[in-house]
Amino acid sequence: MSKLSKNILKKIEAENIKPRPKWQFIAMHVSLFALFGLSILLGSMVTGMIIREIVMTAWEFAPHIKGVSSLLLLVMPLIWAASLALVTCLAYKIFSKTKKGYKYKPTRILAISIVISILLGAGAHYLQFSSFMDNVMSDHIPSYAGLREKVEGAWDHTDEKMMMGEVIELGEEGLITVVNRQGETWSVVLSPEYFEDIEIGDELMMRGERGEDQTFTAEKMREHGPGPGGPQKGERK
Amino acid sequence: MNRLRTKSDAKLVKLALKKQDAFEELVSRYEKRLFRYIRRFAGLQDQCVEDILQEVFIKLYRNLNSFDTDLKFSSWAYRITHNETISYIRKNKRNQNISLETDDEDAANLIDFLKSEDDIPEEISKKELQSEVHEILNRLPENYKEILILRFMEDMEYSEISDILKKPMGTVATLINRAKAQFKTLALKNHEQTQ
Repeated sequence: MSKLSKNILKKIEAENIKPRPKWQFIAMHVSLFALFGLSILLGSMVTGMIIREIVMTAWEFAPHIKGVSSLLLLVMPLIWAASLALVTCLAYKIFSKTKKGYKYKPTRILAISIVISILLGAGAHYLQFSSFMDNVMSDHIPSYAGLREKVEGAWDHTDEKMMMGEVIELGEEGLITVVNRQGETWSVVLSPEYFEDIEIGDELMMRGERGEDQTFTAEKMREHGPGPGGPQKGERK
Repeated sequence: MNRLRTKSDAKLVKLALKKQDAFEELVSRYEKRLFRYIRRFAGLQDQCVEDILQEVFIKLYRNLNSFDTDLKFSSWAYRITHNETISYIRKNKRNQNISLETDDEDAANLIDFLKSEDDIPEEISKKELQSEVHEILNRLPENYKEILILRFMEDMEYSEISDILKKPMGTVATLINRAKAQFKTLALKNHEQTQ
């Protein structure tokens, strides 16, 4: 036995060093996988929010927002995209620490994490979980609510080809009365295909032409708020 | 003790959990190899190498229950040795002896492999390169140095290096190619400067 071997065994005996119990390693392993699962779940929630932002934002009306205010519409999707990048990197770091995780290329782990997040995120959005999350965050995180308000404020700076307002009266032959964000009352002419679905209290976004005496002829319309997959008409925050 | 010499490493690990002489056998099997590896990699004085090696075997003993039987014991031992050496180097940068310790046989292995690629001109003699291996390896970035040592001096397979460094096999292959390329570039530069 060499001098080094003797010293090693002496130290083991002197300091009463014992092998760590197996359950500790099993617990560590299980914890790692649990953390990985959690990070994927988090990624799914974030992806759900990204999908919600893309779906609910009226991109087709965005060209009518004046100046740089239109860039505000990109704020929330970008923040969520950055969050997804962070969470995905976290998922990769955790997975690479598992027993066999290092054998896989980073690109593969990242790609699989993102695909799972997208699939689960789409499901979360379809089940309206992302709308629920948005409501909860707006109610409990003041900075989030403030940011939402700022983004929403982009729609206060639209050009003359656009009108946003709440329906206060339903007339005949496609005529409705709307109060816009500036408190002005407008008579709006709508084509029959849009008219059928409207109710008093709906907030509408319309593109068209302004006429004389506070009239507006709408060519395209959508309800402001959640788009397809979001809360149905009548549901409000 | 004789009985233990015929047992595989994995079997010894299992026995070491109950009998210390099984662990003794593992220490004696790997002591010289790991000692040489630390010296080749870190260029430390013998006492420092022994200190690191002691910590390595203590760590191996403490973590015997975490040994993955899908892995070779040697890969696991090298992995812990590699990590402990890196930690030691980072903590004790001032005490590091820069000169990398290799013997002529180690250098010959590395040069033989490189020369077999036909990239190094014949006019650079094996003898010239042997004396330069120390210097060239030391000038390489740490990740290139470690991979060349593992591949050409420790004779590790790609899968073993992957297990030791905890990197995918594709990354190991890429690193080896890049390390070889940079080694050759430095060797040729050295040769031009001395002419």
